[in-house]
Amino acid sequence: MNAVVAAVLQIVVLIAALALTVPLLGRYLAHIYTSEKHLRAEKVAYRVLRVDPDADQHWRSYALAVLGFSLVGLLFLYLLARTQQWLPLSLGFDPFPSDGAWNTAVSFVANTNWQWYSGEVAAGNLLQMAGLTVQNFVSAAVGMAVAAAFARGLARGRGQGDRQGRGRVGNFWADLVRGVVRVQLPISVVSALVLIASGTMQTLRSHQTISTLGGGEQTVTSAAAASQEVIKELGTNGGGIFNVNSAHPWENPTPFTNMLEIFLILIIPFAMAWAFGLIVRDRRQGGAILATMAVLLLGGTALLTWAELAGPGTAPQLAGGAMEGKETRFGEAASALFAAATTGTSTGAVNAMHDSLTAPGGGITLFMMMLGEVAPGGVGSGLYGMLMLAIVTVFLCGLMVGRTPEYLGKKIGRHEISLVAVYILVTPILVLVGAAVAVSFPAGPEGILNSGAHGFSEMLYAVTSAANNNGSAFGGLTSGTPFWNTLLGVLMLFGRFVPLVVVLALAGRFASTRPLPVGAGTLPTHRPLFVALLTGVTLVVVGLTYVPALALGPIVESLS
Amino acid sequence: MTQFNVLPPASDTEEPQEHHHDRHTVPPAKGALSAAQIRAALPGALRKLDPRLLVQTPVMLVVEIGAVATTVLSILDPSVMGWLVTAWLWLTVVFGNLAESVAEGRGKAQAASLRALQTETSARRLRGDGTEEAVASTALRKGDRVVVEAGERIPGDGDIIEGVASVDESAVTGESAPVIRESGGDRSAVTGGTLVLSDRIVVQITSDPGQSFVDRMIALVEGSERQRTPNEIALNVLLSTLTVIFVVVCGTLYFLADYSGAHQSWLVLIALLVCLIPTTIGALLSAIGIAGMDRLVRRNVLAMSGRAVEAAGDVDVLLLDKTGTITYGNRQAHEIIPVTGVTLTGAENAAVLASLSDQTPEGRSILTLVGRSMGGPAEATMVEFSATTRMSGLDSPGLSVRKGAASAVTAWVRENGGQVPPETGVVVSEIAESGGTPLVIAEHRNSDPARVLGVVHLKDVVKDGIRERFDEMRAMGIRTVMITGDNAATAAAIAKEAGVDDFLAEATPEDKLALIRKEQRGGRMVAMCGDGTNDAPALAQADVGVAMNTGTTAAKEAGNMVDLDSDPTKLIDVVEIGKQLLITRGALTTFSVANDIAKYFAILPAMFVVAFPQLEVLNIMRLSTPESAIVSAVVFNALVIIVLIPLALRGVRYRPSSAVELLRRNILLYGVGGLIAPFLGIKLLDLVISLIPGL
Amino acid sequence: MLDLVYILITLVSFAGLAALVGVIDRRLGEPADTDVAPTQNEPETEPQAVSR
Repeated sequence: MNAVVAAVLQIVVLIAALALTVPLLGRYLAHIYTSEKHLRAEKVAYRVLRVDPDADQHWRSYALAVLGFSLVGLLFLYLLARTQQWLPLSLGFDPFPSDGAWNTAVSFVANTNWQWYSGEVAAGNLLQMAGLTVQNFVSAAVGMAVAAAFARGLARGRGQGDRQGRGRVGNFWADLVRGVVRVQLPISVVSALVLIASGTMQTLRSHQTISTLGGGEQTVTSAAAASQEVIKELGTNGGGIFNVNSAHPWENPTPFTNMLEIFLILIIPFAMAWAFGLIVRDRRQGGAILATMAVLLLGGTALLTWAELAGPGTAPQLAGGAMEGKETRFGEAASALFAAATTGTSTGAVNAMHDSLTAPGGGITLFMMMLGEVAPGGVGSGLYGMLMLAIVTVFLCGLMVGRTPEYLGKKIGRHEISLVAVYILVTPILVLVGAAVAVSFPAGPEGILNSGAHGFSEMLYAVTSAANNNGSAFGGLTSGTPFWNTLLGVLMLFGRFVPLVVVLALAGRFASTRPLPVGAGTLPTHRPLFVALLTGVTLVVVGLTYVPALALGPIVESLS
Repeated sequence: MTQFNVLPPASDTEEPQEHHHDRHTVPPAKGALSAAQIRAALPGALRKLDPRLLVQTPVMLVVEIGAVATTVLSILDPSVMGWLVTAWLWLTVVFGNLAESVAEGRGKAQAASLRALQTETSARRLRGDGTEEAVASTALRKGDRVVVEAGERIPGDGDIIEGVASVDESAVTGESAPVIRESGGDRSAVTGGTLVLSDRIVVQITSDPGQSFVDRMIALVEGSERQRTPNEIALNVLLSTLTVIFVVVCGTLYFLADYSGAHQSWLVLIALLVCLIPTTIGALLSAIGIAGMDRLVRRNVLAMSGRAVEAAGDVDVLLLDKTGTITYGNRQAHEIIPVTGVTLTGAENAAVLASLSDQTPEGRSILTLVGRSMGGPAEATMVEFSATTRMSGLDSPGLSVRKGAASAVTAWVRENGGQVPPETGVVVSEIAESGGTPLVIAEHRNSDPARVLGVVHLKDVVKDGIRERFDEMRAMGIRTVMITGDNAATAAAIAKEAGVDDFLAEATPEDKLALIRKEQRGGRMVAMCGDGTNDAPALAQADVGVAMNTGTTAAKEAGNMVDLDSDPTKLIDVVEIGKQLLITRGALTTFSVANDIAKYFAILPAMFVVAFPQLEVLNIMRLSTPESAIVSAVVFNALVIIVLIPLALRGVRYRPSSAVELLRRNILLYGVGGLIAPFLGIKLLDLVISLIPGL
Repeated sequence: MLDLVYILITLVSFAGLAALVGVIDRRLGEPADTDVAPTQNEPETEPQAVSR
């Protein structure tokens, strides 16, 4: 089969699968984030946590609950990583160094899942399962909870008989528990079984010794891969149990599991957008957000697939294809699709070494992350990120219809735009200042493999990935040094929680404002024209911010 | 309210106002900047270089800081390019200030003529015992009572508490025809500085010195009291955010470039920064706001705050008084229907006779309709209309004619022994149901019993073109509600003919207030106009309240705009000006941001081409040298401000249409235009600038 | 020793984030209440603008 046809075919299959499932899951998500009923298992959880799941929290207490919960999780993870040698199921691994333990703790709590270590030779089973996998679930649920709170804030007052919010955005504990119990667990269990049936490994043994055909002995590392694989993708986490991540046959054995994993990466972020439309009681609004995400992702995938198949550059031309670092079992196109999905969402799982993508291809994965993880982004964070950009778009373009800007009937005044401004500012500042710090201290470039523009790209990729909570690594950068662990830890921490606080504040504000009626004079935010504008504004704002930095890395590389 | 309206009690002292403002408004603002304008504005522009003033516009403050830095850099390490960049950065700041100064300058002329009114005059203050004393007009305080007679200027704002006078208010309104001001009622307010032409009035002063209407007008048109509006502040936040992002971009680029072996001088990075931050809109933002107020002033509307102008753009519901806005304000004879047994001519003749004494527009319209006049019989006494008799006519020996409200005239017929045929009632109610006003004509000849001759159908005439304007409003998403004291049937008929969306019949001021509250509870913004004291609460409650200048002081205080022409139709203009103001802001912001793309294509290759020759591919404009490319971008960035000043002052072209259409058009013009224009502009500048020796 | 440093960084960061919550809450707070709250003395029946 022609490579291009195969590439198109797998994208078509993926689109079809998503088109069938996203509306269903979206409706389900909208239901669970607005329902007032609790499951029995959930009631037990609330009693254990000693929280009242029916209290309608003010955004302030919602935000403090998020921060408190994350802080506890972070400290617990840190402790676990520092003491794993004394704990059961450690597989005899040493404790993490303190900088590494901190980096990992931040990374998993911030839903980034940047890994400076190789999972199979550093993290024992207890750390993997009780620490990292738990965070894979809950950090994703936190993102979804915040997005749901934001949607509810916008929705307040839009329905009949709806009381105005007075800054109240819902209940964090209910959102958190439901996200885990009703969404992630069921999907994970089913998908894990499918993966196991398709050959993904699931065992508690750390390694097996097998006799090779030649008569020698070989130690093959093994792990409970399938269970973590699913939530790694589903929660847009990305932290693999093996260092080479989804390129490892134990994690991702067949083309079918490859497609399933891509599907799992994309399903919740897209479904959140659909759920958003339902929560604000205007399905078309969710559709427009979803369409914008899809356009950006499709554009990225198309460019990336082209870059990898065309294989520009001297080495690929000589070799007859850009196969270096690719998953040979699936081919370049599958790698390109996986790469676009993993960087478009904030997953960071990889099935190819992005370091080995062609120069333009690597640049595109960088750019996908720089979009701020909105195409379609992390679970929850993709939705609220895109909504922030929608508000910027409304503000820039809304004036051109001769009214002061509003989104879904909520006026965008000085306070609202100030909060959005903080959101828009945080990530670029973290990325660019982080990059400047990295190149300016000798400890930064020490870790890179290549010199010149490619080495620069490796560092730029690392800080971009951390600040945007993606967690994928370009490869080539040895980041397990105190310098990199600390720098990236700081970027991940602030890249996750400052935006999150601002989003909740905005949710609270919207919850207290009365929506305005929509008329012929209002800027419509559900039409293709708005999708085009939102796409344009996203590309222009991101482009203007990062083009100089990109020029020194991937652009220079691509043109050489 | 009665079912059958009679003639209005007194004829209107004001002229019909349909084309009022066309006659005397200042000619519309010219787009181009004249050299004189710039010369006048220049000193102000230089004064505004003071960083303490520039803090108001953070974008321009950053440019100024950049200019200071490049000045220092150029002194330390002089180069042609350094000085060129420095000069143009300073010019960028000056151009920005110039825009604001020019906008302010336009109000100055108007302010000067208003100041002339403030020459100190002597006032005749009444003492408690009723005797007069002469005091300076500036010594008058709130509550003082003064006497003003024909030929004297009114010494301060106040309400007439005694007498009636014709007043020349042309200095304030530009309207040369004198107006009648009288004590009590809704025409009692007078403005300081206006001239009494006839009679004697006693005025109670309502403002302290320095706070009079004229004082406030001067402050408003000069822009000295200008406070930034909510949307302007919000936009400033967004522009500052973009500025911070670009400061970070350029600041970190120094280190990133250093690492990559493509060292950049701070001079070039500052040039890049100034090109990227949204200087165009940053420089023009306050000028747009001032010009918006100015456009209102040119239409003789004074906005008490910029906030009101902005709110006008957001208006969802327009409450329009029927009289004067939707209809010409007076009913006109449409048809004369004789009763059975009477010829049309007979009925017409009687109608004419009954109207000879009637000076109201309604009465005259009967003469116009019939088209012939006749002398009244000798020894005739005219019977004037009065609110109690509700009819007018003529008594002469042997013949009496009457026309008036059906109930009054039929009563008169019966008193004089006549019968009222049942068909009269039928015709009368038909007319009333159709929204018209029926006037019954009757005569009493000699000793015959009085009899009904016919019915005059008076109709409220809807203004030409008003229907189209309402259609436009609807397209813009604005609902129009007609407010009228008429009964529901009349109101419905007129509403249908005029094409308003809703109407409120038999409206009292309280009804108006309640309607505004109800709309506002639904989240809608409401605009209305009014003049009477009892309109004041509604004017205060409305988001945009336009008080008529003829109205009471209370009404003027309550509203947030005053229409000097007292033309209620102006409300629609006000909304359009508000929208135009917001669109201009949005369009120039979009233009400013879109410009950046071309600037990157000019500057980035120029910066890095030495270290990475392959980046020459990105130099799609084929600019001659890196230095020329950077200078061209900086010059373009400065010149575009000057080029756009006229647009900022005039406002972008605006035709009422739906949000989608407006958006599509403006995106195409200012978004796509903003994308393409700098490519052409920078290329052209490069052709010239590359000729500069030493660059 | 290093453990303490990292735990301290964590605590200070989260304290900073909590402070951010506080600052935003104080500075932006609830939007100014421009609502027209229905008052008792308002008439129960409101004039209804009639749609054609």
